[in-house]
Order: sequence, then structure tokens, then C-alpha cells
Amino acid sequence: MTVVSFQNVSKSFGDRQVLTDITFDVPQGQVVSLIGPSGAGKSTLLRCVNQLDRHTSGSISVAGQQISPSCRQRDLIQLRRHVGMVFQSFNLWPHLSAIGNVMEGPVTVLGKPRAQAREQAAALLEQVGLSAHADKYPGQLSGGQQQRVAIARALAMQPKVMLFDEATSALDPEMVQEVLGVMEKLAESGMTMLVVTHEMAFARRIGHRVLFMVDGQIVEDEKPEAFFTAPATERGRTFLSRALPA
Amino acid sequence: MVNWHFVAHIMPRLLRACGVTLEISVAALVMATCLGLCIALARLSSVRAVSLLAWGYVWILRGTPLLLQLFAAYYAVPQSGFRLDPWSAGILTLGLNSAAYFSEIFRAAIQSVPSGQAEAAAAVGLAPFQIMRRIVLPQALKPALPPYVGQAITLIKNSSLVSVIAVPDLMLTAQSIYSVTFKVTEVMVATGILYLAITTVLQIAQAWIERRLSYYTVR
Repeated sequence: MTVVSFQNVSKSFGDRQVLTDITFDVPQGQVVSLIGPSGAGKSTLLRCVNQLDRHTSGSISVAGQQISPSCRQRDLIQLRRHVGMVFQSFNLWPHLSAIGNVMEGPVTVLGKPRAQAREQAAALLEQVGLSAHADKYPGQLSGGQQQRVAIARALAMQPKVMLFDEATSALDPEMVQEVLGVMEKLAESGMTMLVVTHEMAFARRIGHRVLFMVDGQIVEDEKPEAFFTAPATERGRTFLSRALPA
Repeated sequence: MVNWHFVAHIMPRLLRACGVTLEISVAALVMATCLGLCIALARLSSVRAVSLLAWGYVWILRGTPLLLQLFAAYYAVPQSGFRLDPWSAGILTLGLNSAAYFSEIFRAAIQSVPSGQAEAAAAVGLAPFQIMRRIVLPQALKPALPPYVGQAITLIKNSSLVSVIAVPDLMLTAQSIYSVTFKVTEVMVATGILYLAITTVLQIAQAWIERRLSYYTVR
């Protein structure tokens, strides 16, 4: 079953074209690494999946729901229930405790009873190794811990697909591993994932597939082994020679 | 020198008048807070006409003297056939006027919340009004509080202007006492103390709320 499908999707901000004619399908359970130089449109592509950025033309379908450039707010809310997103800067809500952050979606969006949402949130925090910190506020947690709470927050909506927008870029090096570890476990559990990352070793290890983007286009769509050992394009070779220290 | 016996003598009467000032101020404050929030949200609306309307409101109410607005409400409005008693005119004018200032305070506070906060809420599936109520407004409370209390204090002091349309508030009562007794110093000292007492309560409340709101930012 296809979870995410892009058909000839383009996106421009004003007269600046950031995505050009993007077409790809992601089957259920696949982990896709999106890589490429900065400014290539990786984050914008990711943000088009849950429509934080609206695309300008083409069609997107997520978990069976068709999204057109003109669809209504109600459709977007419906769409976002099925898509979890993790941001580079965590964006945890500082006025809510860790468990409060995780409970917010189920309680406010899905109308779950608080007790039931709390139970589920506690289980998710355990899954990301933060049971001991459930009642702490984001300001009292380290970056790595905050990002793991953010992952639990996204998972609380039981999404069909998870988006990771440079989830480890803002972290101190010693905290990167704890977040990557959680992501890897999630991938093994069969979650469909789109991962924008600058961690090449991680992209290669976790991904079932690599989308290499340059200038708003998908230039290569390969298995990680193929892309990382023998990129088909000149742009791919140049990028890898810069991104991977010899 | 201040005749403190006389101050003590007029205190009961001034305290009763204080009740009038408090009543008018609280009513105007409640009205201005609710209306101010609505205007702030209207100002931030993506619908241009709505935003423009809110801008126009602030432009006019903030750009003309409160005294003029009071006279307009009490003397000019009745000419169009809608009579307002002094109390209503006073509360309404103070409320409408302060709402303009409050709306700007709320707007600035709302805009100070990083956009990633609303974005994360949208990504979870919250609707725009849920994002405002659950995520943005609670975080806007803290930056809004100091200017809000400042403006509330201004409102209380400005309420003394309703004396010009014959509302028997603290200021009018004070005037009527010294115009008979000529003990201006005593009356002004006593009245000043009472205004200061009211505004001090607000400042204490501010300090208390600020402490309550700061717990989650501990690093």
C-alpha cells in the first residue's frame, strides 16, 4: 500500500521555484532518506507532505487522502492527524510538561479522555526512554531528551508516516546518538518514514531508499548501497565527495 | 503641615467614593480586556478587511484624547437619541479607550511567541483556534503581563476623568470636599493615598502572577 504519493508536485514562494515536478511513491513501511545540498528543497518537500507548506501544483496523496493546492483547512487538519513531524528545533511547548506535550494532540484533536491519553503518553515516553522525566518541563530537559519527547508527541497521534526534518542538526554531538537510536527502533518497527538528514552514515544505515535532491528536483532515487557506492550522476558524486570525508 | 485629624475625618467619605472608582475601573477593565483580545486577534487576521477594521479602531481610539471621548459619549451621543447615564458613559468610554491599548499589548505578546510553536501544533492536527487557545495564548501571557498591568494602572488613574461627567467617584468627591472646606492639601494627600493603595494591589498581583508563570523556564 502506498502511504505517500507525489505526482508532478511543484512549489514556489513568490517567483522563486523551490520544488520542480516532484514525483515519487512511498510504500508502507519504507524508510526514505532525503539528502542533498542545503537549499535543495528537502525540507520544503517534507513540509508539503503535511502541508505546512502548500504546494502550488500537482497532486499529493497521503494515507489515501488526496490533497490539492486549493483544499480547505478542514482537509489539512484531517491530513495532519495521520502525519507525525519532528522538527530541527524540537518546538516543544514550554508551558506544558513532557507528558503534557505528548497528551495534547490526543486530548485536543482526538478528544480522548485525559486518563486514557496520559496512560498512552506514559507508554510512549517509556518507549523513548524518558519515563523518569514525564513531569519535567522542556526547559528542564537536554536537547536530546527534548527531541525524544517531540518524537513521542508525534507518535501519540498514531501517524501513518513520520517526517524528520534534520532532527539531529541542532543537537550537541553527544546527544545525536540517543535520538538516532530512537529513530532506528522506529524504523525497525515498520513505521513509514521520510528523513531529511545530513548524517550520511545514518542515511545509509536506516534508509531503504535514498532520494538525492538538487535545486528542487529529485536527481537520484536509489537503494542506499547503490547511491553511496556508485552515484549515477555527476552531482551525486560531487555531493558525496564533499559530504563524506575520504 | 498636613492636618492628619482632618484626613482621618474625611476618610470614610472618600472610601465610599473609592467604591465607585473601583466599580467603574473593574467594569471597564473587564470590558477592555475582552474587547482588547478580540481586537488583537482581528488585527492578526489574514482577512484584510477584518485586520483593517481593527487597525482603524486602534487608530481613532488611541489617537484622540480620552476627555474628548468622554464628552462625546456623554453629551454628543444623546443628541442622536441614545441617552447614557454618567456611569454607563464613563464605563463604556474607559473600556473602549483602554481596549485599543490592550489590543496592542496582546498583539505584541502573541507575535512574540516563536512561529515554530504554532507550526508544531498545526503538525499535530490542532485547528487554528485550538492553536491560539492551547498553545499561543498561554505563552503570550507572560510577555503581556507587565505592560498589561501598567495599562490597567493607567486605566484606574484615568477613571478620575469620569468626574467631569458627574460620576461621584473618588476624584469628584475629593473636589467637592475641598471646595467646601478649602483644605486642599489634606484632601489631595488622602485621595492620593487611596489611588496609590489601589494601584499597589495590582502591582503586588503582578509580582505574584509573574512568579507563578516562571516555574517552567527554570534551566
